[in-house]
Amino acid sequence: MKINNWRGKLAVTLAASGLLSPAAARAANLNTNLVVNPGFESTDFITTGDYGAPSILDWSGGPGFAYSHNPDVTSVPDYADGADPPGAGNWYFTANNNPGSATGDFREPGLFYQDIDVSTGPTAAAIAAGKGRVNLSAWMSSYLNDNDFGKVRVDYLDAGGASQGFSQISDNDPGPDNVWSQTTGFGAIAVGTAKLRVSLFGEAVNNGSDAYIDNVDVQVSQTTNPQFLSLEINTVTGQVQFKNQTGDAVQVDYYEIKSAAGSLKPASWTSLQDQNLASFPAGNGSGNGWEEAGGVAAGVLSESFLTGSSSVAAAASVSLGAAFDTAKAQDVVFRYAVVPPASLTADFDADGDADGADFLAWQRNNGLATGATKAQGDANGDGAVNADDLAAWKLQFGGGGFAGPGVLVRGVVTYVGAGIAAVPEPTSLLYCGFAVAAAVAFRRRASS
Amino acid sequence: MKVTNLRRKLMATLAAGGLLQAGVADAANLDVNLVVNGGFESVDFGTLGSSSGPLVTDWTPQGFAYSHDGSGGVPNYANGTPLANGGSYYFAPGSITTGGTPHHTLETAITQSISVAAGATGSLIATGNAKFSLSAYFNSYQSQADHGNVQVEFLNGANTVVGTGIATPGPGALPDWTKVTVTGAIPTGTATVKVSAWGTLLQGGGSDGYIDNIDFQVASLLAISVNRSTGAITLSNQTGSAKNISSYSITSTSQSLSPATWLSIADNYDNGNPGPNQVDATHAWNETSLPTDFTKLAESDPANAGASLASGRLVNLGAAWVQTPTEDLKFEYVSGGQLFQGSVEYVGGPGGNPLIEGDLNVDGVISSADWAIVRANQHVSLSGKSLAQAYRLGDFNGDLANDHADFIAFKNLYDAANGVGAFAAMVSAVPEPATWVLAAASATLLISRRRPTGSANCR
Repeated sequence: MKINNWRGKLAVTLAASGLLSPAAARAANLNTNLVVNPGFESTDFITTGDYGAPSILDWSGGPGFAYSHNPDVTSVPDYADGADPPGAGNWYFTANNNPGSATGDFREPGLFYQDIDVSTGPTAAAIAAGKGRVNLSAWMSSYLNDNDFGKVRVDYLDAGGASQGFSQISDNDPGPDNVWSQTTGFGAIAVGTAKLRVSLFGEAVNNGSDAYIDNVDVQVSQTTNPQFLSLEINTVTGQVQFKNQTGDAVQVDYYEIKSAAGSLKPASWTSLQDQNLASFPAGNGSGNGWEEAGGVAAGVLSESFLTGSSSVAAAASVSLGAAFDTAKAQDVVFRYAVVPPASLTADFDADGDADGADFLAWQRNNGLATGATKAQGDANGDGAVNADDLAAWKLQFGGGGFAGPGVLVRGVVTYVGAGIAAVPEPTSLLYCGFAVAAAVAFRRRASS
Repeated sequence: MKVTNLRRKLMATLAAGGLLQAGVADAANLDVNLVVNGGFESVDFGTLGSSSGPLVTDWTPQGFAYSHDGSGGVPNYANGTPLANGGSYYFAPGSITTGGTPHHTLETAITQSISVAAGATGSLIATGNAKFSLSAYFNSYQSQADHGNVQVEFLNGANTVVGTGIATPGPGALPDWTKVTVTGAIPTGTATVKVSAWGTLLQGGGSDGYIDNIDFQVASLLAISVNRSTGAITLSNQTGSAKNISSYSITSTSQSLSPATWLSIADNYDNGNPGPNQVDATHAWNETSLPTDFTKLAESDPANAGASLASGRLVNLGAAWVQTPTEDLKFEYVSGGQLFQGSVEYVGGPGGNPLIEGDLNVDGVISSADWAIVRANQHVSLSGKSLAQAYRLGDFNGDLANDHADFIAFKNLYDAANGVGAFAAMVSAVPEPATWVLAAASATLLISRRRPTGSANCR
C-alpha cells in the first residue's frame, strides 16, 4: 500500500483519506517483512518538516519526515551520501528533522517507531517456544562527511507494554565516509513478547543526528532449537523439570517459577538445594551453593547461588519433583538469570583467559608509562603498565569464566501429558509486565 | 571543598582563583563542622613557607602546612604515624615565608570567623540553648615541648568577646597525634565565633606544635541520641538546668521511624503514667503523628504547657529508629513556647561509623549472615513495611519486594566486600611473580575441580 499524499503540495486529493491513519500492522507470519511502509514511500505533504520534507505515514511518534532520493521530481532535497539503495523509491527517513523536539532530531529509541503485533499466529507460537528470532535489516547513510550514523532497534514488549529487552543494529560504515549501505543483524525474541517496537534514530556525533534510513526490514523466523531454557511440566504427574535444549551450556545463578493462581506445590518440590547435585551444589546457608528462597509458596518457587553460578550443560534436564498441582491453572512463568562471561581486562593475549602467558605480557612491559596497549599488559586502559594492571590480572587469574550476578531471562514453559511430546504453551495474555533485559546475540554483517 | 593548588609546583593553573580566598563559613547548621578547611587539605603551592610547605587556604593571616605523607615533596616533622583521616597536610605554626611572623602567640595566630547569628544556631544561642564542641589533633617535633593551641572566642554583635574555649594538649612532647576536645555552653548574644590556631614556642627556633582536623560544632542542649546498634532514641537535657518541653517531632524522609516501637510520653510518661520515669505529672500528652506514618514521630501537650526536664534527664523513646545507612533524622521541639531545631547525635554502631549498604544485621560487615536475611525474605511479601523496614529485609531497590533485582544488588555488594566469589579463593593464592609457573599449574588443577565439566544430572 503506497500512498503519496501530495495534497498540500500538488493540489491532488486522495479519495480515501482513511488510508492516512497509521494502519494496524499485519503480523503473525514468519519470514516476511512485518513493517508497514518500510521504504517510507507513503508520505503526507499536509504535515511537513524542515526543508519542506513530507511526514511519513504508518509510523508512530514523531512525526518523522522524509528527504528525497529524487529531488528533481519531488522538490524535496537529498542530503544523503552514496548511491541510492536498490528499490529506493522517492523517499527515505531522516533522523535529523524533528522540529517539535528540543534537539530537533531523533536520537533516542521510542521517538519514531512502529509497533508490530506478534501475539497471534505463527510468530506467537515460535516466540512462546523460545524459537522466535528477529532478523533485522536496513539501509543507512548520513549527511556529507558528518560522523552521525543511524540505528534501528527492536524492543521486545510484553502484553502490558513492558520491555523485555531489545536488539539493535547501527550503520556498519559510520564515520566521514558513510554512504548508503545495508546493515543486518538478528536477536532472540524474549519469551512473552507480544509486540515488536521498531524504533529508528540516529547517533549525534556532529551536531544533530544526520542519519538517514531506508528500506527497513523486520522479519521473524523460527530457530530449530529453543533459544532459552525450558521448564517442562507434566500435567498428569505434576513432575517439573528444566531442560536446556538451546544447544549450548547456560550459566545460571538464579531461577524463579511463578504461578499467579498458586499452582505450585512447595512440599513436593525437590529443589537444587535438596538434591545437592554435582553440577548444582547445595549451599549450607552461607550462599556457597544453591539455596531456597525464604518466601517459597504455591505462588513462587525460587533458588539462588550467591557466591557462584552453575552451568546447565547442553541437553541437560534436571527434575524439580512433582511441584505442579495438576488440578490448578496452567499459568506458570519461568525465569532464570544468565551469568555473562566475565570481562577479562587482563586477558592480554586475547585467548579467553587470564593466565601465565598474560602475566608474561605484563612482566615484559611493566614500567611502560604511556601509550601502552592492552596487548602489552595495560588492563585498565590508562596507557601505563604497572602494579594496577598486575592487580587486575591477579583478580582474574585462573578464574576466567563467569562472575557477578546474572541477567534475568524468561524461559519457555511447556505442558506435557504422560507420553505426549511437548507442545508450547499458548501465549499467556495475563502475563503482567516485568522489565527484563534479555541477553541478545547479535551480529552485524556488511553488505555491498 | 578541598582545593590543592599545585600551581607553581606543577605548572598547572587553577582557573577558579576565587576558591583560594578565605571564605566566611556558612553557619546556622547544627551538628556539623563549621570550620572551613579545618583539615588544612586545601593548600596553595603558589606561596611556600619553611621546607617548601604550601600556604593553607581559608585562614588569615598566612599559615603554612607540612605533610603527613610527603605530598608535594613536603616533609613530615610530626612524631609517630601519620594521622588516620588526616589527609595529606597539617598546620605547622612555625612555618613561615622569609621575613614572616611565626604563629607563636594568640596575637599572631591564624584565624577564621564563623557567623552563627542565623538559622538553627542563631535561635538556640539567643535563648541559651546552644552548646559547642571544639576538637583538634595535636603533635610535636621530636622531644621538643612546643605545643599547639586552638581557641574559639565568642563575639557578640558589637564584636566584644563574651566567652572563650581553648583546646590544647599543653606543654610536652607528644609521641603521636593526640585529640583534644572541649565542650561548653555558648554565651547568649554570641553572633560570631572566631577560631584561632597557633603554637606555643618553648624550645628551639620555631613553635613546632602541629595541628590538624580542627572541628567546631554547635549543638542544642536538648537533643536526641540515636543508637546505631540498637535503634534506641533517647531524649536528653544537657543544658545544666531544667528545661521546659511541650512538644517535639522526630522526622525522617527515608521512612526510618518505627511508630510501633516508639515509647511516647503520651503512652508512657505523662500524667496517666506515674512512675520513676514520668516526664509530665500534670498534663495528658497526645501523639500527633499517625501510627502508620514511618516518616514522623510527634507528640505534644495540647495545653502547650508541657513539663520541665531536669538537667541531665534522659528519656527513653524506645528502639524507634530502623537502622539503615541513611542518617536523616531531624529533631524539633517547643520549649517555653518557642520552636527550636534540636541536635541529633548518632552513637554506637560498628566502629562508631554509619552502617554500610548491605549490612542488614548491623555487625559492620557484609557477610553470609546478611545473606541469610536476604535469602530468608526472598519473595516474601513486604507490603505494609516502611522502606527502611523493607531494606532490612533485603529490599535494596525500594520497591517493597525482595526479588531478583535485590539478589543482583546484594550479590554485587557481597562481591565488592568479599571479592568476586569465583575468584576469592584464587586471589589469596596468587604467587609472587618469580614463582608463577608452578602456581599456575596448581591453580589449573583447582579450577578443574571447581568446575566439573560433566553434564548436569540427566534423567
